Amino acid sequence: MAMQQGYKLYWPNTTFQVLVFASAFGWVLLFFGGGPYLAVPALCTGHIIATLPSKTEFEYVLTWLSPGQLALSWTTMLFAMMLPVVSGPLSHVWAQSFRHDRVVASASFVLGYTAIWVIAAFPLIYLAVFLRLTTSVPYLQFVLAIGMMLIWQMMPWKQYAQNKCHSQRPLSAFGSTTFRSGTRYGVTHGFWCFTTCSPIMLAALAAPSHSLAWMIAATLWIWAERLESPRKPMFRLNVPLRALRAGHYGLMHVIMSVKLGMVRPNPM
Amino acid sequence: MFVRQNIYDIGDDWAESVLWYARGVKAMKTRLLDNVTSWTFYGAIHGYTRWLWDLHGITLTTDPGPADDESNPKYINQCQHQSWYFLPWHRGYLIAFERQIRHEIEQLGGPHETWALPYWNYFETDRGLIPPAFRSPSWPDGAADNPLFVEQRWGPMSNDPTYDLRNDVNLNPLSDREFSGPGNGGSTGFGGPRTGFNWSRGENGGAEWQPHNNVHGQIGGSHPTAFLPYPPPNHQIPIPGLMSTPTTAALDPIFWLHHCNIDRLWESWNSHPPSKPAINPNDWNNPAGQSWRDGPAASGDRAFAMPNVDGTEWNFTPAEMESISTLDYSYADLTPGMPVQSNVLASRIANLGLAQPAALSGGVIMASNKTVELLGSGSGKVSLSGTASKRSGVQLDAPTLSRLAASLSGEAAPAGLPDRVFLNLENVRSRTDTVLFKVYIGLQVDANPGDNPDNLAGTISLFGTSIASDPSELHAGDGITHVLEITDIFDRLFLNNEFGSAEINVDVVPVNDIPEGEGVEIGNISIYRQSE
Repeated sequence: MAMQQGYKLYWPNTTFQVLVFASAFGWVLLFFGGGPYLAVPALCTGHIIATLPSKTEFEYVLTWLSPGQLALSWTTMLFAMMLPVVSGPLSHVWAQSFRHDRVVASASFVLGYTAIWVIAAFPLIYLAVFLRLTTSVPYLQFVLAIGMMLIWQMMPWKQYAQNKCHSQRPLSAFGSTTFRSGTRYGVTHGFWCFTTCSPIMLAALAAPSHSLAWMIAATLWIWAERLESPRKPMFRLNVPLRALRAGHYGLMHVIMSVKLGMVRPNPM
Repeated sequence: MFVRQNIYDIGDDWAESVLWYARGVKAMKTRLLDNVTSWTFYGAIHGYTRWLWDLHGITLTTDPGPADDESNPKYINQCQHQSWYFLPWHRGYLIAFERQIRHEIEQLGGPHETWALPYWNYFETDRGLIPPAFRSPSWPDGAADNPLFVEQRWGPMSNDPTYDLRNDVNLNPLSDREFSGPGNGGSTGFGGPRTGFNWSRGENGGAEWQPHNNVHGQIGGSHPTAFLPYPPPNHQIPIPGLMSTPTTAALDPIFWLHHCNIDRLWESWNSHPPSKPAINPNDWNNPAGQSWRDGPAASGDRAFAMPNVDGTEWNFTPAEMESISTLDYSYADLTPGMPVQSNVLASRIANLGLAQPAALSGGVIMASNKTVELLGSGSGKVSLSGTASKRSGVQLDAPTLSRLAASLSGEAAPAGLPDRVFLNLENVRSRTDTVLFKVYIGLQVDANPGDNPDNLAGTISLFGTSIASDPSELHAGDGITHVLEITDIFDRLFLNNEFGSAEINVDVVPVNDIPEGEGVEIGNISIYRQSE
């Protein structure tokens, strides 16, 4: 049942508002969270990666960052960046669950989705580190990551994966199948989300400076991309312009509204 | 003002209006696909699958024209389906086409000042068969190239005089007071669910389902013996008639008369009869919000665009399509064509023994506050093939069923409206559109569906489903969800004290043989309650 197609998930609804609030909280933590725990996002955002002089140095960094801290910080970053884009799937889970199971079903989706991204952190961070340690020229790892991202943007498989992010398939609704079904949907959605977005995330991780600014740029790009309607998969440079067009239309609407008596020309 | 007439009421088979329509179509057909005012280009605006067109001989592989991609994003593959834009987009499409035909008539020295598209009201007695001028391969003078004739019509409305379409087609959605319901398993309304620009995916609205989809399928049908040649595994798929699938439908001249009737039914829903009882302020009205009125361009998506007769571009919004008098046309008759219960709520409330809301007798109009929740769910995928019916159990959730019972008995809110109930056939996917099946609910174990018409939830046509199932198209390939109102069936179960059952049967009965290769499957079957 596709009650809330992905392309319309940004229309304000309660689910979306809650997710935006949670995302904003994540950003506050990333911005202001210093100290031993939120030193970890610095790794996630590429700050440490960009300044690594050697593999040994990286291994040293990992000796004082526990796996728990890494997972916590990565999840914080994930929620900050991604929660608003799962509004559609979560609304779908909500609609496909009995009233008394909605919270459990939604949590199972988030669990599956988060698990995929936490697992994905390993190859992504290691790839960013690999790029850093194998390129001697400053900024080269960033240029390489941006290049990979642009190539991926042109691939039909990228569009296919992006379309799959709008997929809303039937879910089971009874007993333990609710949890399994929600988790499986979260894993599937996380897989397509990772396939679509990982080159963008990698580029943000490879940024040599202003890491948070690049993270914000990557986030806005991902949000804008998810706002796009599904398109036929083919070779083309996918640039998500719908958000800009919507913004322009809204601005024009406001301007027209203040000009009293102005009406749309008769189409006939 | 132009008046669109009933084609069966404007004179003989080849009345002047029909003759000039044929001449206009012939003139458009002289131009090739790369001309935006050609017959084929107008077909591509609705939907375009070049290999299928070549297979049908509509185009030659060497013909110029837009590639089968998004190289012409202004116009190609634009039809709005499974959307609240279904009705306004098709109205604009009809207007642009009508102006083009009128222009051709003017060029030919005909009556362009008065000519208007006729409509075909297939519900009238003995008028369910395609009008004779469209069935004849020749013109009235015997010339053999009648442009209104299409060979690729294999459905019963094209060639079976004994076929009674009332078995498969009805006007039940006209009794839905809302243009767009809350969705999420609940009503999609008369006009369709709220969407952005939407090309074949999601949930059908009421008018799109009945009569629109079913008439498409019953005109086009599929070839009785020939199959699509490529690629595997499509070798078992019969060749669809032009009207059977959105990417060829507008290449059949009867398409435009069918859609005139759908457009007429929208106007009828809005205003006929003038004093239809309203419960909520928006009843029988089009959506008032900006996101419907301004169309998908308001949210940054494609604008609705048609070619003018001089080849320039005409953009329109749903709001501009609301008033047909402003658009300078009318219909000779707004009577739907078969009985429509416009006051089903009053009789329903009486049946349940509840107090009549004041609004039904001209009192205070109630504000709408709808919530939707899952009431029951099946156990997953249901595959269909052959002619045998398939039975599935839908397990009902006891607490939700209790809430529904409280509503139907008046305990929950004595002054409120009773809940409505909807059956969802989720994510129906198929490799073909030429399948029709009936869905029954609430039958006893040994009951025969055909003997229990009161348990019929609806008849489903898969028009548009093959495209919606294809992940290489403009979506994820999730298929189409059908939302059928089964409120009356649940009312009856409640009144007969048959409400306590933990499971309810759903029977899916193919109308025609479904070859296995067509891959027809229902993702899941579920039931929702909608509080009013």
